[in-house]
Amino acid sequence: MQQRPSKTELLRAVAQFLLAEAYPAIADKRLNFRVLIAANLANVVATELETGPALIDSEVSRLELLLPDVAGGDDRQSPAHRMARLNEELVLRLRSKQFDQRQREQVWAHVKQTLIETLGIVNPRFDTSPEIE
Amino acid sequence: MPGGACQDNFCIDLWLEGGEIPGERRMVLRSDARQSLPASIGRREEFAVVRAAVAAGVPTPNARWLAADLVRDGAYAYFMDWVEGEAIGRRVVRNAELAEARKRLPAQLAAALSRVHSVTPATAPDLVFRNFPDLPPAQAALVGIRKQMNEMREPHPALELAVDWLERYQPPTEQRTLVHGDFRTGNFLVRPTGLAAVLDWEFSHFGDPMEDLGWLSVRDWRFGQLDKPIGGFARREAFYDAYQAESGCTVHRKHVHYWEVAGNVRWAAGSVYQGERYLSGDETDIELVAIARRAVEMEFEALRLIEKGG
Repeated sequence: MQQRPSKTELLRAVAQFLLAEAYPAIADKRLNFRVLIAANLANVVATELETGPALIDSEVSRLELLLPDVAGGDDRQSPAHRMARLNEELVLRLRSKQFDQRQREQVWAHVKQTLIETLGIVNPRFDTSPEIE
Repeated sequence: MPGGACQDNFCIDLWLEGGEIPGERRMVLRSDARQSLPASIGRREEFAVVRAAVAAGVPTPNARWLAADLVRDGAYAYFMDWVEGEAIGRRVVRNAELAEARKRLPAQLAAALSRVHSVTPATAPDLVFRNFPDLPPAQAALVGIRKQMNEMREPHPALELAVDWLERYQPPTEQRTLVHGDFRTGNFLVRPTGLAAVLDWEFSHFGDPMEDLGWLSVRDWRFGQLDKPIGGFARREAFYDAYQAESGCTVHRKHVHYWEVAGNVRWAAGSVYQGERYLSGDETDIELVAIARRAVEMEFEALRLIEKGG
């Protein structure tokens, strides 16, 4: 099956077309704003294709450290599937207050890191500094 | 008219014979839509809220002629005075011709908000919110947030952490006033001279007035002006001072912080829901899927605020 141009390259091409050709040609302000949104979405997906798999793997590793009794699931499951299962278990335990103080701090640090990594894909310009008023 | 999530809004030119406001009038006909967002009040309750707000001196388009089955069977609708102005958030915070208006807005909004909060169950006993839980304000908010989270199609550990914090640190308060419920840039109609009107009472209820102050500073409603926590155009102190002077109510910074956390959680959950509306096939607006993927921004902000403290 042909692989070139790649998925990422196609998405970047869609984004580029929307920004360089469609956006400047559309007078309607509401519509051209939504063209920018569409271009941004194409770029986000391209970035996620490039960097997502590694981030999912590291998220799964961190989750398995937090939930050692749920770790080591079926190796035939995709990383995304394992990530979803582990996150479901994490949420269940948070809701039923099964973590002690120290574990909750570890969960907090893990979740924060996951958010920052996700922001790197969804909105790399998002300001993660702690001191915004 | 575009932009309404759970109402159908029509711009209408009328010719009125006699009555309170004879002659030519541009108005908005605001109707119950086929679908509504959870926590949004229907047009019948909204009509009563708007009347109470106008009576209390809040600058907001007056509501007239509530009717059932006008636009559609089973749908309530009412007519609203048409008011000129700009409401789109990123324009309000950035447009050059509104620079002078931005300087006046904090004082005008403090005055408007204090008048909203002057409406209480005692001063407006006929105001009812049938679907709003009869609980202390933070608990009522948490009921709504938990409902939203139970409907999510994937786990959100960040929201679980934030909601756990919200459950633990509910601010005690005896105050019950009218709460606008969506008092933010995006719902302020602004002209070069300043505030023309406050819009959109669909999330109003009786609760803790500090909720409105918290929501106003939710990060996404600053439209990129991160150093301007009041609506994206002002700093906090002057606004809180003005509100205190106008209302006679103390601004408890810790309470405002609580409701700002709650606001980010509510908007994170709301954003996820917007995506689901698109995915259900009910809506085709591309902004909905874009907002859904940005829920991570609101989740981050909720945790950041919790770490920072009030």
